[in-house]
This record gives sequence, structure tokens and C-alpha cells, in this order.
Amino acid sequence: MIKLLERPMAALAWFSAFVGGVVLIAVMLMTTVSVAGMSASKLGKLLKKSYDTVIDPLLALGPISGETEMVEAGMAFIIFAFLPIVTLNRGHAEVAILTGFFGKGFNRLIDVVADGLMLAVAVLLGYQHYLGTMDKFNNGEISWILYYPIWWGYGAALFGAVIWVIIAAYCVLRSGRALLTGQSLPSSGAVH
Amino acid sequence: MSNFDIGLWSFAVVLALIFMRMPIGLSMLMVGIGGNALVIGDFSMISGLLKNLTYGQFSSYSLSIVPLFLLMGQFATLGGMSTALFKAAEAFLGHKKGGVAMASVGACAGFGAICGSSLATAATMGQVALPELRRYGYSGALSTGTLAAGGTLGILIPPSVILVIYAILAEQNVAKLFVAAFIPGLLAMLGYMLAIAIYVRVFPNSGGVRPAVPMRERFTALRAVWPVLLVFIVVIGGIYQGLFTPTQGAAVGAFGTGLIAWMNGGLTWRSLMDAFKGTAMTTGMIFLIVLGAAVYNGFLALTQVPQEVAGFVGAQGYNPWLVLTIVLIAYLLFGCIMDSLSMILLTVPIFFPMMMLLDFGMSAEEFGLWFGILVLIVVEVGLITPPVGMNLFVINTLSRDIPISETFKGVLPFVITDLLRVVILVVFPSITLYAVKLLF
Repeated sequence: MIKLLERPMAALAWFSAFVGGVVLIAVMLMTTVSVAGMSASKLGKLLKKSYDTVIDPLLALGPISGETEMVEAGMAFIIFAFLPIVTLNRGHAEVAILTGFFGKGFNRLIDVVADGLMLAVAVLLGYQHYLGTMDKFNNGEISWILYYPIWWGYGAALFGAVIWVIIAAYCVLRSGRALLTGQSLPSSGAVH
Repeated sequence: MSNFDIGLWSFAVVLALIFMRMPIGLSMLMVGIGGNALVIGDFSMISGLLKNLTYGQFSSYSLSIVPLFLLMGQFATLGGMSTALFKAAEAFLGHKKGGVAMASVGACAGFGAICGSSLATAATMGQVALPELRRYGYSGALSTGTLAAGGTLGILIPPSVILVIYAILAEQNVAKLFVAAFIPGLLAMLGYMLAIAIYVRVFPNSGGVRPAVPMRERFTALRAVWPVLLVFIVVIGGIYQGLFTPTQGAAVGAFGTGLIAWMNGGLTWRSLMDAFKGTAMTTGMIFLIVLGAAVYNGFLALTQVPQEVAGFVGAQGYNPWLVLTIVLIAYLLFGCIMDSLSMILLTVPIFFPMMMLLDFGMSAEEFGLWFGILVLIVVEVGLITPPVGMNLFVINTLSRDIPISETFKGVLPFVITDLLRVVILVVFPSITLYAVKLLF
């Protein structure tokens, strides 16, 4: 049963990371275009001021308005969307120096506890974030520059938050099964 | 139990959880939540906070540099720039005694200029340089030690993910920190080269010989490096000139390295997927710790522990240099068992206000920059010291035939130069601050 979930869960976490990656590329491109527009307009102003040369297309350009706000909303979406794959692949930073001296069974127990706590935290953070989204929805708060409703950003981030809960729940089952059957888990790959 | 006691005890609990192999971010998060509830008396405050705190941390504009720099590092890995850098460095240094190893260090430094991560630098340069080092008869110990140490240049030479995090915690200017890291980064490179030069003279069998390359070919090899130089100058120059924010610089850098990787044929649909995965894994890991640290530090502030500790140390009239030495040694020791980012997030909010109260004869801003660079170096030493020096293991997985004990031996001279460099930078703060004074 749990084994059957392995592939769909990997696909789900991967899908989440993929969507996050696409948004990251979009943020990168949008920012780059904005920087290019800003530089072009600076150049246009410089030419006008120093050489009295007016190049209209340059002067017409500028940074994308509300770029910062889009980066911020995009980043929140991206980070939430990236969390599931880290949890599934056991990529969270941890210190294994002491537990290395304990037996395999004890370490499997630690895995279950850690995964259980991760699930609890994923649920708590996800639920509180959902409440935050509802607050922003109900109070109709809008952003400073683009006037978009703040809850849009909050709501979009729920995408990753929900998948994170699903993946974290699966991880508890996976480590629970490993504890009962004595099978080993995929090795953790913490990087920094 | 007073709030202050709760704050002090919370350290022990966090450390106990961490040593029981609970994920570090998770440990800080849980203790932060529990501690907050203990101090306030119920969960009302923390549950209210968490409605917006997670989103607030994840959408932080200053932190948005991190995923973009990580993506840039991924693209840099795909772009074949590691090979170009190594070939160029090898063309100039390869024929010297220990020259191929020195070239590896030089190439690592070059790669560090477009990549903000130690592990990525070690892994990427390892793939390129290890086979060459072995081909020219360099010993396993020297080859793997060189590359593990060279990898730390990835984070010493700007851009650097760790410096971005430090800048936020200690409220320092990222652009100035990048500039301040530059000379210590170059010193690190020269120190490593010197270590190799001495090593191959003490152990003459450890390094092979390679014929010299004609001058014309050297410059041909050097020409292939221009994209790296261009990206570095645009990103760091742009940030420093104030042309764009660090986030914008990171976006432009990621775009530039992506473009180069695509033109070199390194960026395919498949490798883009791998780049996404690599970026996602490291970003997700970092941000869970960032969030955990935000919750935990928020709780600590409630207990007044950072202020009380700072006030206590300040009132004792201890010699500032002694306190600094103890703090740096503590970082070195902890670095042997904990990853650098977690350590910085866990300790800087406590140590920094404490250190700020001590008089080192410099302005608050100068101290912030100088201390940041010192901390950066000492925590990075942890990456190349056993038992959990991650760079050692990354290089070891690339060279299965070399036992890890050889790698431990080989990295020792580099650790010694690291420690010497820390002493030099402590004694002469102006080395770190010179570039900042010159440019700002």
C-alpha cells in the first residue's frame, strides 16, 4: 500500500518543485527585463543631459512598475513549492554525529519522530497560513504599487503548503513502515 | 522559572533536539513556538504571528537573492565554465611544481566568483580537475585535499549565500560585505597555493610534472574565460555601483549564466530539470532554517536573553580580543559538527549584539563587516574538517579509489592556512576593510 504511493508522491513533489522552478525563471526574466528597461532609461537621460541627444525609445523605457512586489509574491510561492521535494528526499539539514553511534532500529525510530514532527509543523504552518489568507481575503488589503489584493499572493502559496502536508504525511507512513519492516529509507542528503 | 531562564534553557533543548538528528530548522521552529507559548502563557500570540510570519519570511525581498544565486550556481555548473577556468589556470600554472593543484585552486576561486555555494564549487571543480590531477601523478591526499579546500572559495569569494543571510541578521549592507570579502577571498586562494607549494616540497612524490604550455596557447585558454569575468563584473559591479539591488543583480547573473550555459549547449530540457531540483533542494532546506530561526529568535527576544547576555559581557570589562577569540574558537568547534548556515542563524542574533558592545576601536559598521567576514571564514573551515566536513565527502564520492583518511590528511595543510589567515585578519582588520574604504 505504502509502496504503491512511492511513485505518485515522488511525482507530486517533483511537480511542485517544477512549478516553483518555472515561476523562479519567470521572476528572473521579469527582473532582468526590468533592469534592462531601467538601464536603458538611465542611458537615455544621460545622453540627453550630457550630450543633448534625445533618443525617444530609450527615454520611453523604464523599470517594470511593481517589480519588487511581484518578486516578493513570486518568491513566497516558490519557497512553499520547493519544500515538499526537500522533505521527500530528506534534504533538511541535520546533525547525525551522535546518532551514528546508535543502532539502526533506534535511528529508524528517530526518523519516525522527526517525520511526525515535520508533519505536525507542516500542518500547523499550512493551517495558520490558510487563516492568514482568509484574513487578507476578508479585510480586502491591497498592495502599495500594483493594487492587487494581498490574498492573491497568500492564496497562491497555499499550492505548495498543501502539497507539503501531503508529502510530510507520506513520509511518516514511509518511515513508520521502515521501522516496522526494518527496511532502510533513502539516504538523507543534507547539503549546505 | 523566569522568562530569562526559559530563554537560557531553550538553548539546551534546541541543541538536544539537533543532536537527536531532528532537522535543525524544525528544532528551532518547535522550540520557538513552545517557548513563546511558555513566556506568554498560551498559544494566542504565536498562532497570530504564524498567520503572516511564514509568508513574510518567504516573500522577503532581501532573501529573494538566495534562490536566484542558487539558480545561478546551477547554471554556472551546466555552462562548461568550470572546464574553461581550469584549462586557463592550468595553462599558466600547470608546469610549476604542484602547478596543476594550484591551477585547481585558481579555477575554484574563479568559479566562486559566479557561484555562491561551497559544495557546488567543490563538486563542479572536482569533476573537472580530479582526473587531471591524477593523470599528472598527484597523490590522492593532495588532489582531494586541494579540491575540498578550493571549494570553500565558492563561498568566500562573492557572491556568497552565507553573507546574504549574515547581512540580514546583523543588519549590514550586502554590497559592502561582498566588497569586504574580496581581499580575504584572494588571500585564501594565495594561502592555498602557498600550502601546495610547501606540500610538494616536503613530499616530493605527491606532485607530478606537466610540460609548459606555449604563451600563445595560454592566452587562447584565457580568452575562453571571458563570460565568467563578464558575469562577475556585471553582477558584483552593478550591485556595488548601486545600479541595481542585490536581488536584481542575482536575477541578471542567473540570466547571464543561463544564457552562457544555453549557448554552450549545456542547458537542455533535462539539465534544466536537474537545475530546478538542485535549486529547490537547497532553497527549501535554507528557508526552513530561516523560518525556524525567525520564530526562535523572536521568542529569544521576548525572553531578553540576547540583551541580558550582551549587557552582562559588556559590564564585565573583559578584554574584547579575548572574547572575540573565544567566540571564533566556538565557531570553529561547532563548525566541525554543524552546517555553516544553521550555525550562523542560531548564533549571530546572540553573539552579534554582544560583540557590538565591545570596543575594538572601529565604527559599528566597520565592526559589522569585519566580524561577518571572520565568522564566514571560521564557519567555512568546518566544511573541510572531519567528522562532518561536507566538502570532504563530496570530493570523496567523486574519487572512490582514494580512502577518506587520505583526504583528511591532504586537507590538513589547507586548514592550517585557514587558521593562519583568521589570525592575520583578526590582527589586521584593515585588510578586510581596505577595499570597502577604497570603494565606498
